[in-house]
Amino acid sequence: MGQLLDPVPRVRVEDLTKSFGPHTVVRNVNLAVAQGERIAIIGPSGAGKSTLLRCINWLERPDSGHVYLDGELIGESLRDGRYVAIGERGLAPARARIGMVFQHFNLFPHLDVLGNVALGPRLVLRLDKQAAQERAQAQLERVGLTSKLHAYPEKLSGGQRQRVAIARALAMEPTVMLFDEATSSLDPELVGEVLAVIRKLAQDGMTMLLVTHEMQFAQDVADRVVFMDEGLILEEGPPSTIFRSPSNPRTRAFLRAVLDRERTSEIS
Amino acid sequence: MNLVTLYQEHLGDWVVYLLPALALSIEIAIFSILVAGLVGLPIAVMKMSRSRPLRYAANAYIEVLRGSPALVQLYFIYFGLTAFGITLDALPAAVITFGLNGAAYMAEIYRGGLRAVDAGQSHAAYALGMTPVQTLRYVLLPQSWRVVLPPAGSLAVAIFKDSSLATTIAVPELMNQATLLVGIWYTPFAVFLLVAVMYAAVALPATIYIRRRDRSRSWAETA
Amino acid sequence: MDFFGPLFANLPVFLPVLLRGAGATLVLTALSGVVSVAGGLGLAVVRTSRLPFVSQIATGYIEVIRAIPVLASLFVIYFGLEEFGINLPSLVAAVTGLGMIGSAYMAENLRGGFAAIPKGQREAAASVGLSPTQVMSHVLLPQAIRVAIPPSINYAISLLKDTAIASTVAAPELLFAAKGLVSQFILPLQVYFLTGLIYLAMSLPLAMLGRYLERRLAAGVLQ
Repeated sequence: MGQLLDPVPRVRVEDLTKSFGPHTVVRNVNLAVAQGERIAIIGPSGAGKSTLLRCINWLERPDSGHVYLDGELIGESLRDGRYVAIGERGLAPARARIGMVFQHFNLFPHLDVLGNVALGPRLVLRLDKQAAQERAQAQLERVGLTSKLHAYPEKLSGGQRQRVAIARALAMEPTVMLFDEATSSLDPELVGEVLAVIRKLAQDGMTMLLVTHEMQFAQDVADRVVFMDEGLILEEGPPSTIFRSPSNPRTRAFLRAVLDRERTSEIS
Repeated sequence: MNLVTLYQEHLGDWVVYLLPALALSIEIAIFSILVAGLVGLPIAVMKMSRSRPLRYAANAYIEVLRGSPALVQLYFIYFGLTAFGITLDALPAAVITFGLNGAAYMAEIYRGGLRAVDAGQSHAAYALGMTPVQTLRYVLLPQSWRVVLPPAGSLAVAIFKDSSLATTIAVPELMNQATLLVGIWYTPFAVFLLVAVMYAAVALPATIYIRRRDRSRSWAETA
Repeated sequence: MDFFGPLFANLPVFLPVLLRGAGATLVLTALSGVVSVAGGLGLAVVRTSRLPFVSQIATGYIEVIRAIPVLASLFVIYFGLEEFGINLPSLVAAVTGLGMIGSAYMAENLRGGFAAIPKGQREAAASVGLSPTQVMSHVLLPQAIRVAIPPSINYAISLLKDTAIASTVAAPELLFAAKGLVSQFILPLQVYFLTGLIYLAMSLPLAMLGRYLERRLAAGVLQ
């Protein structure tokens, strides 16, 4: 399928920098995500991967740099040539178009599963209760949890909770999904069910960024792998290149350490 | 003076006067805690705001109302405001005073309750595109009740005891009726002792109940 | 609005009276505080007794006294005891009443202090050979007092505010002096505003001291 023009990327991050106190966690990062592209972001802890993700939907306010969603500047407005940050209320519409899944699920414990998934559509998309619930049910079917509609989060396993969290994000019909270490808090035997759901989403063509430690999954699902360390993107490319013949020595060192760990955990 | 015979003779008459007055004292406490709950929430939100003037205003309100006696505030509102042409009846003045005073304490109670909610909850809500007000109303407040209700209950009991101050502006609550009875029967010890017992008979069980219920199951840690 | 006019015009008259009242308030607070601490210590020690009923009676006293409004207690002591021919001067009645109530609160603070002591302390002290009295005075009490200080500062602030209630039994203190001024000059707004300000001036330093101590003592908590 030839294209005459480069289509506008779904997400574009331009010169993003974020510090917490004296630590600069994200340094001048540039990243563009095309529609339907699946990007895996890997790297050691503290590399700034999660912070980068959270800057995309402005859960963290970048210190400098800009974020564009479908070509539109988000989180800021341009006034007389100066960029002015928007308050929390103004961020809401943009966030509604970005779906985020957290490492610790962050389900609403006082609502049942259906309530959790329907809340966003009802309050943010202004659907009426009936429509919101139907939409919620559809997403819950998609993640395979129709039997748990009226259960409360405390009664669910970790894998089930994360799947509800995914359904909750999907119910907003986002244009891009951000997965922030979605399986890092799960017991190993529960990781598979969540990865299966994400894999299916990828197959359905959802644009997504995944911060993950699941290297095998990244290899299978991603179109592009980005390696970050100390706030910088050191290397990026197709999985075959990054995983089999990385050019940056730090990438190599990281992969060696991770694969060693995986091998030893398989033995024990 | 035999206390027992005194009570045997007069308890019936006295109780007829005192029970409705006790009911009024309880009413004052209920209305005041409602006012406190309503006014305290915006103040708590202001105190957690990113805007410095709002934070200072909230802090000023809390410090002033908690740093001065309720009785002075009562006199200020009932007597003092007449200079601005605001003449309140005694009962509304009492409820407004105890309500505004209680709001300063409720603000801190709300803050404690909201802080007890896991940080990830507001992240998840914002990520869905919910506004701060929606997040507060649908996600944070519902989860903070467990932490808010016990101290709010204690505050209500404290206001119930403070309602006795309203006697100074002639509200016909329990203490006031007691003074009237003393004026009639000239048995201050018996009457005031009885009234003290009546206050304790309401306040003590309430306090113990609140203490028992404060073993809160927190489901907030699970999700 | 003629608020500031009369306020500044009469300041030279109001201030000396009010400040003298404030001084009396501080004296009243200090005296009541001393009685509270002594009484609280006594009650706390009594509570640790293993004799039958003694501990329970002490606890009962503490719970009941705290459930009675300050005003009611003061009226029982000041007006009630007249029936037995005991005519206490208002200052004495106020100190007695506030002291009795304060003892109960201080005893509770000390209970919290004792509860915070690791269990092995008493055994360790005893196994060194200290007598029960020595264990209490040299090992347990010092540690309990340390934990009890922040809530006690909070109580001191409440005590300061509660002295205003003693104005109802004509005790020499700030609010009583203020009421005198109001009946003389009919300027309740200005007088009570000033009065509130002076109470604030007295309570805010205590509040800041309390917050400072809370932070300092929290750092040096027992292992």
